Amino acid sequence: MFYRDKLSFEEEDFKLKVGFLHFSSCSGCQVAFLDMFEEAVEILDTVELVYSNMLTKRRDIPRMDVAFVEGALCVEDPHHINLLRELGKKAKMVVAVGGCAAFGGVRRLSCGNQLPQPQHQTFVPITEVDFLKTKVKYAIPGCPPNPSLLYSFLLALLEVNEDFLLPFELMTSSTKASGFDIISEVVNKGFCVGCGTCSTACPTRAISFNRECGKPAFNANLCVHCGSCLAACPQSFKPYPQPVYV
Amino acid sequence: MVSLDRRFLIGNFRGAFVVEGKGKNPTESIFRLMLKHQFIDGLLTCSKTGESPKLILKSDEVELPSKNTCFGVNSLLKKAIQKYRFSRLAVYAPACTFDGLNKTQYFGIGCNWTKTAISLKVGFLCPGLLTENAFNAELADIAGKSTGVKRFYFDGGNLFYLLEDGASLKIPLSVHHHYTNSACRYCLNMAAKGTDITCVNLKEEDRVLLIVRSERGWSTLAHLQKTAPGEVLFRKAEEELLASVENFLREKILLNIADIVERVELGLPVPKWNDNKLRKFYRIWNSVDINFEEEVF
Amino acid sequence: MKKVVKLEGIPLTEGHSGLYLEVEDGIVKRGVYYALVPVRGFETLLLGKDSRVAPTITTRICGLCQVTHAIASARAVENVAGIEVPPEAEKLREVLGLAVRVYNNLLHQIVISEDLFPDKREQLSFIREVQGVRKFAGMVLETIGGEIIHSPNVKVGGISEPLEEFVKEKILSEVEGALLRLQTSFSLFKEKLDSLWKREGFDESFGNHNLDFFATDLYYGKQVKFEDFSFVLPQEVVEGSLKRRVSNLFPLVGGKPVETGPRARAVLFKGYRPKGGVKELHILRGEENIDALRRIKEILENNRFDGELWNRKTPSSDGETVGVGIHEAPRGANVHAVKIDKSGKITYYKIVVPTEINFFAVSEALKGAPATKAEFIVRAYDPCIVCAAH
Repeated sequence: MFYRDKLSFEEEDFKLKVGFLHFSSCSGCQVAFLDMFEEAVEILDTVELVYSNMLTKRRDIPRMDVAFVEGALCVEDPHHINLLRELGKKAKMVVAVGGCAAFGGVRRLSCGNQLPQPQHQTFVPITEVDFLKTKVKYAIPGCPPNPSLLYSFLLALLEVNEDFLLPFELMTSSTKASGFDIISEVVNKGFCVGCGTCSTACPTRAISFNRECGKPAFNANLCVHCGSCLAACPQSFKPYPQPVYV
Repeated sequence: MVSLDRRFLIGNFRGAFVVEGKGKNPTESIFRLMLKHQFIDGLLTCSKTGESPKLILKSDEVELPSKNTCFGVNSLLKKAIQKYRFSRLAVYAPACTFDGLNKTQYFGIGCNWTKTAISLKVGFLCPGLLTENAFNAELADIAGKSTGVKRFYFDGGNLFYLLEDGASLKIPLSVHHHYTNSACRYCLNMAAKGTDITCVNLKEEDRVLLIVRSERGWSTLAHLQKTAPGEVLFRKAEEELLASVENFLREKILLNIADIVERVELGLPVPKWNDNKLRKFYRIWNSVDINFEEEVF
Repeated sequence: MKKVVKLEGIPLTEGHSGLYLEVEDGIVKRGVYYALVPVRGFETLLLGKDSRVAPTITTRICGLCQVTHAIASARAVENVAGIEVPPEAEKLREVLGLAVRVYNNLLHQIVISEDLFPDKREQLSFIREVQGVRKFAGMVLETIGGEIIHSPNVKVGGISEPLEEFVKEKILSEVEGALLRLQTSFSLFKEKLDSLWKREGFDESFGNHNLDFFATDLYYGKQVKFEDFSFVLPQEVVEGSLKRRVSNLFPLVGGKPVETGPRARAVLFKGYRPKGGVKELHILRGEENIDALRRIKEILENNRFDGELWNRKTPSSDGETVGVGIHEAPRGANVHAVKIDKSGKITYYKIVVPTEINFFAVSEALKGAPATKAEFIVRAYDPCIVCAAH
């Protein structure tokens, strides 16, 4: 929306060039960026949005500093394969936004075989694609990620706040996520303090709270594999530096 | 290196006060006043018996958990912030709840715009949380009794339960350590560092030790005294009281450290995406020259 | 001079779509509009799953008009299993649907503001105003639905959480302000739309067609027969390699291509006489926003929602009957059809989304338009491609 066709001041322009690309997804993550509402206008005024099918008039994909990518790659779609190559060429850094791009998300349930293109059967999150391994620097969990998370993330990216960014870097190497993480990684390992943060973080309310045990109870039927629960759990990583007592 | 001094055990604070509430629980009175005078618009905590998380909206409904059981407080966060749209929420819970809450605030993860919605964080000094079954087993172990627990408090550096039959029971830490929630055995933040105020339950029900940490906690209490003078009385805490709290924490944390050290030495697994706080602590614990900066483990 | 133009990727629309145009002397003689995003297989992935999870999963079809899929899906399961929904829950769903209508229509205004505002500063201030209203709509979605995007509270049998009176009052206290902002930004929008039409040299009939209209209700959605729908495969419509790429079906209603959406609703339920061109689509969409906010206010003021809103009956059916759930989404009638067996498992699922229905309408509207301006017609329909290739 902020891109003008004639880029006349390219040399003098030091704004961070960002783009939104989407593979197989619902566009909700891109909309979540806009759901910062008024703040979105401020943030998008400080960076330069060079590509988004929804918000810019550009047809070709230009070079960009950061590509925010949502959605899983559909291997059978030639457009996706092109997009993948373009991404490897044009983007300096790729951020996998949302469950589908980072951990497979609701695409983990897909089995294809639906008209009119029954061959669309293979969906892989971009964090699993070796071709982009060096480019995908961060993965953001959530279905969709909270606007407040995206806001903090964008600020951290602009300020190069590595303490903030580190956990999101670690998440790129874990390509699977689900509510079972909370059970296997935290409860089973004896680290669950019973604070209930996972239950509040779950976008589908698949995690309820077992009051008898003081532990989360997980309903796998509702899980969309977005990774929110473990990311929000205080035992997976903690904010560092901790809040200062001023 | 880590020394188990006051700074590590209790953490930094601006002042410590013994607060008297004229026959009532002073912490409850403070929250009641804060709700009444609209310092806060809601209080997120557990029910009195600790069985379920609770969101309190009216000042005459204020009741705080009196046992050392308080699970699932954060599970109401989305309801409070995204549904009820509270913008000045207070939270009363043990330290671990604030780990989750601080994370939600710092990263924006989990619940939308938590950063701007919380106005006061009050943690209680936690000797380790127990579920109902754990209480029963612990009491049977220590006293052979099956009567319920009414409240927990600290006296002279020891943990006590006030039982439902009116008797007080001293709880030996070595036994207590066995029955607590397993994550509480690896906790290094029992004094709820990372909050605005830490509250320590004392023997008399109408007395409490408040450890004021942040500027926000300080100014809130000052403002409260100005708005409702004489409702709760503040007196600077004696050194002796703080020392006894510190002694309790030292005794418990040594048990916890032994468990952590064992866990690291055996290489037992930790959650993924973890910055490996246990191993980090192990390194600091075993080294002489690492310059230890304040870090909430 | 005859030629064929194939466009891939229509900027300022959602998703990846394409246009096939047969052009003679610069004028489109035949046009086809289609989706090019992969089929994610929501209809097949639901098979064998418990029908109670259908709203949670189908809401993830689309990130723009999320809740309409949850509502249509819940209503389809309720319809086939004979589950009675508390009337207040239906009203609250209507509120959610209207909130997403405003939320989503205004997103469209933001998207096309790139066309409307040659001056960037003016554009930003317009977006800021519009975002203010979207924030209100987002608040309604978040408070009642649980989240702004992908509401988890819409369940088979109702709404999982009651709406307390004091929360309702909070919403009502902001509705007037939002309405005021909406009216101001809408008049600016109309003004800019006029100047765009003048700048590009379009007249009122630009992008007209003679198709029938299809809508079920002004605000919420009324039952239709699923037998009325039939589907044309893209392989029967397009040529060459596109046959293996176009990923949407072309639904027909009563055997004919139709248009659905704001204009259809206005024509069928408000007695509106269409002028024909696509400009009125923008205007009618904007007017729907104002109507929607008024309707939200009316529903909330006249009802209480603090009781039980969820009939937790376990769904069950014979596996043969088709249940249909309709919701009037921002872009038109959104139809979900489902069959479930005795144990409540889904044995058949079919989704017909408004953008899919409108593909033929867009294709019709392209006829006679200058090929270089085809994109303006597409944008006027606010296509949601991810919905179309669900």
